[in-house]
Amino acid sequence: MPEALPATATRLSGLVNGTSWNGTGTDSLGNPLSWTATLVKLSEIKSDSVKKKDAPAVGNVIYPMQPFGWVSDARPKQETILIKNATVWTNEQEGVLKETDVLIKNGKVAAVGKNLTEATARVIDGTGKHVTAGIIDEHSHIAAASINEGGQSVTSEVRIGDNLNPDDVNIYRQLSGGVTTSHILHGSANVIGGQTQLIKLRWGGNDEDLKFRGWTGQIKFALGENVKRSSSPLGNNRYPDTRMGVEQVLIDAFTRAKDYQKSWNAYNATKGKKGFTGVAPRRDLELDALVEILEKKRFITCHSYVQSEINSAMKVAEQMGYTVNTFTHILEGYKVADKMLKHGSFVSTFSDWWAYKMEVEDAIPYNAAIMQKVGLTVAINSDDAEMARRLNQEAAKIVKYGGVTEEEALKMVTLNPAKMLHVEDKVGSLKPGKDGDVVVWSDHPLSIYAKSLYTIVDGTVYFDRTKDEQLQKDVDAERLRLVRKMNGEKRGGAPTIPAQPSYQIMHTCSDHGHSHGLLVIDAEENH
Amino acid sequence: MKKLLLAALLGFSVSLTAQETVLPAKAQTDPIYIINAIIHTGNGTVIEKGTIRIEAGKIVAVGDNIPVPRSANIQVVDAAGKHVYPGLILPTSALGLVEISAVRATQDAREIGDLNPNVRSLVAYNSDSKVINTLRSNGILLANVVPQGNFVAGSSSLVQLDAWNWEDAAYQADGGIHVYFPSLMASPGRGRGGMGGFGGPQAAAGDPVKEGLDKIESFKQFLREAKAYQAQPTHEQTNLKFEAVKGLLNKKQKLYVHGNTTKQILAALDFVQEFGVDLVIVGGSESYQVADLLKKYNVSVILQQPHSLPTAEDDDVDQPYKTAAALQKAGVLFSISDDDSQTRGKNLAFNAGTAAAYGLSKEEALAAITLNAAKIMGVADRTGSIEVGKDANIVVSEGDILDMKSSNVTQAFIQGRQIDLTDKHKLLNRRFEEKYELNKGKKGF
Repeated sequence: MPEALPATATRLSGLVNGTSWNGTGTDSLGNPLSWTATLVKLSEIKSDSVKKKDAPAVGNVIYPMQPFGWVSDARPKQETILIKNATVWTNEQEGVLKETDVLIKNGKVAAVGKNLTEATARVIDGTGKHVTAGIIDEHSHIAAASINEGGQSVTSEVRIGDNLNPDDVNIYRQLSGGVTTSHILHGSANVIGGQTQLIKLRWGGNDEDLKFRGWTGQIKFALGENVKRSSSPLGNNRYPDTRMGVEQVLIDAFTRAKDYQKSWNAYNATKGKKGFTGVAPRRDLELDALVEILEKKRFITCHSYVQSEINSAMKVAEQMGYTVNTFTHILEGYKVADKMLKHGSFVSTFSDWWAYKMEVEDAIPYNAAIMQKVGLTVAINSDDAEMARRLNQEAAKIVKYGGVTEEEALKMVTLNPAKMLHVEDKVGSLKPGKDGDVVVWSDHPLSIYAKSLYTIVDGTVYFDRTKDEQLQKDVDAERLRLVRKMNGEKRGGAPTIPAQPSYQIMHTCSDHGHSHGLLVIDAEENH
Repeated sequence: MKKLLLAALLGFSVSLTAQETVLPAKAQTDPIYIINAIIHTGNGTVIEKGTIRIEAGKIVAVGDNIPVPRSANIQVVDAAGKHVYPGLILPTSALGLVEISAVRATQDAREIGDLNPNVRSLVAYNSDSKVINTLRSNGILLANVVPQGNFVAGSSSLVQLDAWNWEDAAYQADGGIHVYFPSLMASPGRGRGGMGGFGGPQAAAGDPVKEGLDKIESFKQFLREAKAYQAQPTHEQTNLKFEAVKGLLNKKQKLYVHGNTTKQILAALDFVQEFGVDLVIVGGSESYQVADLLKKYNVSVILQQPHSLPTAEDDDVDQPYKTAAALQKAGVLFSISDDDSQTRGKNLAFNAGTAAAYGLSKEEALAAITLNAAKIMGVADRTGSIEVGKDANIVVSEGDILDMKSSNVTQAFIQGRQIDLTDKHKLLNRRFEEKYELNKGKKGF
C-alpha cells in the first residue's frame, strides 16, 4: 500500500524504481499532489461488479473552445469605464498627468482629466496605478495558421489575413502583458513576401473579429541571410543566394510591376473610347500588390539587418518610385540612420538582441536610442510570442541603453508603432476620440515589477488580473471534468489509447531561436 | 593623497579603439574601500549605508561602522546612493563555446556521441569572446560554461570573466557532469502532413517513454560499472569514461540533469536514491509540481529561463514567472539562469526581477543569481555573497539591478581587481555618436 497516498486521490502517475515509487497526481478536487510508495505486498484481483451508467453530461461551449476561452454568457462586453485618480501617460502634449481620470465610453476614449464623473460607469480605482495606451507590436507572428510562403522569391499575392487563427492562446497571454494591437507579418523566407494583417486582440472572436478595421494594408519584404537561406542545413538552390541577387530580385519585380501598371493604364484610358477593340491585360495578383505599393495604397515593412542591404533597398525604392515605409529588425540601422531619415522610413527594432547569426554581429542595444536621436520614429517590436508579453520592459531598456526619456521609450511600443502602421488617428495615445485601448498597470509601466491589471480593447476588458485567477480555476475544473469522464469511460470498458502530449505549432520568422515552452514546435524547424 | 574614484567619471574617459584594447585588470595592490553604499549582501540582509574593505582580492570587512583611514595608499570608491551587490553568477551558459550560434565554425558546445563524461567545456572556453564583456556590463562576473549534447555531454566549469586565457579564467574546474534527459514524451511526427496549422502533429513510431527510460537505465548501468571499476585497486586497461565519473560518485562533482517535465525530474531522483549523487535539475519548468520531493531528496534546481511561455496551453499564463516563488516556499534550493540565445545571458538580473514581481522578495531574487548559484555549484565558501573571507566579486549599480528601469552598472570588481566595463556595444555606440555628433563636447578616440 502507498504510504503517503490521500484517500481522495483520483489520478496518479509515477515512476517505478525497484519496489519504490515517486509520483504526482491530483485529488478528487483537482489539487495537485505528489506521493511516494513502497511495495508491501501484491493485491489480489477481484472480479468486476456491474455499475449503473450515468447519462452523459455535455460541457459548456467556450469561445474559443480551449483553455482561457470565455464561457458563452461570460464573454466580456463593451462597457463605460471610468479609471479614477491614476498616473496617466497620455503620449500627447500633456505628457504624464498625476491623479487623473480616464473615461472610456462607446469603445472610445471619451475624456482625460481631473474629477470626471459618469453615473453609469464601471469605476476602476487607479490610485497608485499607471494608465497607458494599449501596447502595439509592429512585428508579430501569433494568431496565424501559416507564416512563410517560401516557394518563390516573390509571393506578394499571399495574405496573412486569409489564414488567421483566432484560437491561438498567445492572444490571451499577450493581453496579460498589455498588448492590444499586433501586426501579423508574413515570414522572411523570400525577398517579397506576403501581405500582412493588423489585428486587435479581441480574444474569443473569430478571424474577422480580430481584424483591425480601417487600416491600409502592408506587405513584408526581407533581405539578407534569411532570403539567402544561409543557415539552412540543406543549403540554398533558389535565386538569390547573395545580397547582389536580392537587389536584382527587387528591381526585376518592380520593373514587371511598372510594365503591368502601364498596360492597365493604357487599357483604362482607351477602353471607353469609340472604336476600341483591345482586351484587358491579364490580371496578375502578384503584380497587383506591387502596383498598390507604387500607388501608395500599400506600405512595406522590410526585414533588414546590415547597412549595405538597407542602403541598397532604399536606392532601389528611389529608382522605382516608392518608399520603404518601415525597416523592421534593422539592427544595423544606427549605421545608416541619417540615410533612412532622408528616405522617409520608420524603423522598428529589438532592444538588445545580437550575436545569434552573422548579420547581427554588430547589433547593439544603443541602436534604438541612436536612431531616435537622429530623428527617426522608432518602435520596439517582439517577433516573439514570449517577449511580446514584456514589451513595456523592452522599451525600458532604451532608457538604460542610450538614455532616451521614459515618455519617448513608452511611445516606442505605443504611439510610434501606430504611426508606422498609419493608424495613429485611432490608437497609440490617450486622446478623446481615439479607440478605448487602455492598460491599467500595477506600477510604473517601464518597471519590471509592473503587471497589467486590466487590458482594455475598444472599451471591452479582455484581461482582468482578478478574473484571470478565476479563469485558471475554471481551466483546472474543466481539465478535471474531462479526466473524470475519460476515466469513467475507461472503467466502463471503452477502448483507450496512451496519453499523447498536445503540441502547439508556433510560427516564427525562421530567424532565430525562440524559447516557447516544452510543448511548442517551431513550424520552421520541421523542414 | 587619497585616490577618489567617482563613478560618473568612469566610462569613456580614456582613448579607446576596440575591444582588443580592453585589458584584463592587474592584481589588486592597494586596499579598496567602497563607502556609503546600499549593500545587498546576497544572504538576505541589506546594509543601508555601509562600507566594504577589500584587501588582496578578499573581502576583509563589511558593515556600517568601518573606519576609513587617511592614507595615500588606499582606493576609495564613493557609492553614495548606489546599490552594491555580489557579482552575479550565470549558472548555465554557452559563453565562450558559441560565438555566433548560426555559424557552425563558431560552435564548440556540442560533442558527438551519447556518453561523453570525459569531455570538458573548460578547454574550449574562448576568453576573448566578444560576448563576455557585454555580460560584465550587466553585472555578471562568473559564468558556468556548460557543454550541450544528446545525453551525457561532459563537465562544466565555472569561469571568472576577466582573464587572458581559460586557465586564468577557471574559478572551479569540472564542477559537474551534465546529462540531457530524453523527453519521455511522444515527439511530433516529421513532415508537413501531420503539422498542418490547427491540428496536432502525429506521434512518431515506437514508445518514446520506454525508449527514454531505457536510455536513462543505460546510464545507471554505466555508473554501476564505473563504481565497480573504481572499487578495483588496479586496472589492466584504463577506462577514461569510468575515471571521469569518479567525482560524481564521491560527491566532489554535481550531477546536472537537464529536464523540464515532472517525469524527467522523477526519473532523475532515482540517481539520488541509488548512487547518492548531488543532483541539480537544470530547466525545471515543471519543478513546482514536485517541489516537496525535491526538498525531500535535497535536490536543487536551476530555472533556466523564467522569461518563457508556459509549458502547456492550459498552464497559468504567468506560471514560468511564479515557479521560483513556489520553490522558495517549499524550501528547495534554486537559482535562476538566462539561456536566451538572442541576448546571450545578459538579462539574467531581469529574469530574477520577474521572479520578484511574481512572489519572491527582492533579496530572495538576488540570492537566486548569487549565493544560491554559488551553493549549488559548491563555491559558496569563496563567492556568492558580500561576506568577510570571500573573494571580492562585487558589482556597483546606480539603481535596483533587478529592474531594467534602474539597473546601470558603474563599477565591478573580480577578486579585488577593478575591471574595465567597456564592451563592443559601448564602443560601436561611441563610434556612431561621433558620426552624428550626438555628444558634442565629449572627447573620445
